[in-house]
Amino acid sequence: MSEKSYREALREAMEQEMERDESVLLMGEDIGVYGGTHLITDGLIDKFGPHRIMDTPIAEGGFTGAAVGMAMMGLKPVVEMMTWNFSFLAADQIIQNAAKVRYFSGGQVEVPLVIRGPNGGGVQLSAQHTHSLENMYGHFPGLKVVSPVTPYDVKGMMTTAIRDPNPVIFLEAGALYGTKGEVPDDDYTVPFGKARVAREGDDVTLISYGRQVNLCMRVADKLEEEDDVSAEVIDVRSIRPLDEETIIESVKKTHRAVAVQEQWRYFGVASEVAAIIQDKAFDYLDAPVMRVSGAEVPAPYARNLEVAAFPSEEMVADAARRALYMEVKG
Amino acid sequence: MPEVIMPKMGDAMEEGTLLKWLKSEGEEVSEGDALAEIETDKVTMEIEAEDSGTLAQLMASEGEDVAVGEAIAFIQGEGEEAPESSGGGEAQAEGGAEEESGGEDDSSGGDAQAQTATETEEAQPGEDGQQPSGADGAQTGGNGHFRASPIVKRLARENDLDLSRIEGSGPAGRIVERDVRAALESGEAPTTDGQAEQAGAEADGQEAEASGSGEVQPEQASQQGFQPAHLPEPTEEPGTQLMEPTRMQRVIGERMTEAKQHVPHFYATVEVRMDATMALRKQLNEQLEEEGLKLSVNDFVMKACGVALRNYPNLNALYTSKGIELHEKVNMAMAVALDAGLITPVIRDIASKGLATISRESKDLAQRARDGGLKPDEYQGGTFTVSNMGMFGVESFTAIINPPQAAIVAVSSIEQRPSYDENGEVVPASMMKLTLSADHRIANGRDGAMYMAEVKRTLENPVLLMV
Repeated sequence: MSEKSYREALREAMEQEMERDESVLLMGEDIGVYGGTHLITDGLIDKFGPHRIMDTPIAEGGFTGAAVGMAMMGLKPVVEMMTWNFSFLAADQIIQNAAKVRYFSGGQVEVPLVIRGPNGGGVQLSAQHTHSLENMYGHFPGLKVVSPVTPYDVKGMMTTAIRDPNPVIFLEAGALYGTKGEVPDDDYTVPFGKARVAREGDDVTLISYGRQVNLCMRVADKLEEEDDVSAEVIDVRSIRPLDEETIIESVKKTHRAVAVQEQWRYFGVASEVAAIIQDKAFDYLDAPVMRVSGAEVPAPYARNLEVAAFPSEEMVADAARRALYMEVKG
Repeated sequence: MPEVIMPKMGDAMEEGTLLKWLKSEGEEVSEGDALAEIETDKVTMEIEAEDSGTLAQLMASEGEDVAVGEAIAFIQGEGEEAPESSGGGEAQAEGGAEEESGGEDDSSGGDAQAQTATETEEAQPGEDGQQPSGADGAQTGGNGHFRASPIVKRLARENDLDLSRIEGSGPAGRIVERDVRAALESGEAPTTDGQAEQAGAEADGQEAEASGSGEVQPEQASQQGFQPAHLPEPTEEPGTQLMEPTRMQRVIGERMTEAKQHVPHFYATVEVRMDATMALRKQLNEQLEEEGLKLSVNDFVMKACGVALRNYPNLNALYTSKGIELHEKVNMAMAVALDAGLITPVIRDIASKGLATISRESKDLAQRARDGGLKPDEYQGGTFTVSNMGMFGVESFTAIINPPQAAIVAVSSIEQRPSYDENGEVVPASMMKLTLSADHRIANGRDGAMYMAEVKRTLENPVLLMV
């Protein structure tokens, strides 16, 4: 166990899997010689060579399609999207092929493919480079979608992703590549479909994933300090499959829930969480399930506007207060 | 623009019926003009204009029930514009009291006072991504449904709680978890079967988490909270007629059901020899004839009941949320039968009033009660009740306690019976039965028996009425 950054933990997972399994290879734009735009793969080409650390053309549809083919033939490619925004160009390959080949072939052909890259906003990349796509990919049966937020989880979940025989959409918290945490040096796995209770509490459950989990943790401290409210924080971390049980158990305890997401409100993960809660914990609710989401605009560039467009501590705290029938302060 | 609102005529009043418009829309009105007749559960009265102007819009139609504080009309001053009409008036927001917009605009999240919830579209979805909390599908107060969160309904089911008697502190009066927790913790949670303490102990294993100031109001029954769950369908056979209960009938029904279900009654009957009182009455009435005054038997009985209470303060008491309130003065409520029900106007401090005063007051109150002309403070604040059916030849009966009072005396008719005098001779006697009904939470049988003996002694020696 030692302290590592999110970036190092991610790299270590891929490096260890490449050492363990020769069929694992990485591909993407500028991941080799340049070391990756976000330096995730920095140094790996020196260790594994250009055949396993493949620089690709700027052609997401092409190289993702190639990766689907490699996976069908038994390799285990890990494809980097420089950012998930570029995956729109590869969506046909991901949705039409990767997600469906196993189904079409009656289970004869598996697609052990991982597509990874930074998801979401918060680093002033403006509208076309700021999307949170967990709900979009989470919508399609045949894909697994995860969104780890801690260095520990990113290593363990990447290991699980590479070992999974199905296509995995691996959404990294791009704004948090530099954050640090304790990470074991040896390989280990964190299972999909199992949420993490990041903080225990009794009065209200804050449900989130990715970078918003850290926001919820700060809000929980704030609520405890200012309002004497004990908030439980759940890091969903696996969007599909979704761990309904942990959410339901928590709400049965607290009777109030706030679902927080960076993406836009309509048809988002928070909406799905709210629907599941009202379906399976209706008789335990004391208030409507609150949702806190991004503003209904393309992401702004200006720093002040970008901050205003994403959930803030005050918004989440006030949503919790509303659920508790307390006076809002924002 | 000044609103004309449904006034609150008494603490328990939640809504009133608009009986009749006395002015029509568009008519000029002056301050003090009678605008409409309304009926509360006790009286019929006129609403007067508090401003002058044009009666711009009649919001309520005749026969409609309107919640206290809601507008029934607008009076338009010169140069003012009428507000937009908005249809049935069912779901109108009161002065924008709701929290439908997002959290950025300092909206009033948990406004417990909001009377109506509005189901608007999410007002500014982009602003902060909040879901408005006020609007939902909760039931309103009528028809035995109460706005309550799902966990509250669940707790009520598991603990046999009577939600109609818990005040909701959430939006639009929604009963939320903290209200129930507070009621359970206070040990005064109203249960459907009276097992409050047991309910509290079983409450979900999280006793310590109530986080607010819920308030239990045992006196405030909701409008139709005591209907059995399943009433039979009308037979609709020939020779039957379906009648809608009047507001007064409903209120009497609820209060009496509440009293019979929640107040443990005990009874004590005495038979009083009334010859001395009747003789005194005859004598006094001869003297008073010139003044046009005629004392009734009931005046004597009420006076005797009031005087006798001096030594039994726990029968002149109210059962309140904070304990038993003993009253020094006897405010005597007298049951007056009306065509459409009954009402109990009050003679204040009866023990210190003379029979002539009592007689004048009781006749005036009874007459105005029948005319529907009592003011709220004339039928509120009673501490003890007398109900007399003697004039109908009733031999004896028992009365239902009028909560929160501790006791009521039922007065039957005077009958001639054979009796023994001190020499053992049979002589005719005027006998009258009085039956006390008392709240066993406040008084015990001995108190009741001794009190009734005192009443009997007073009426058999009516000179005691003078001291």
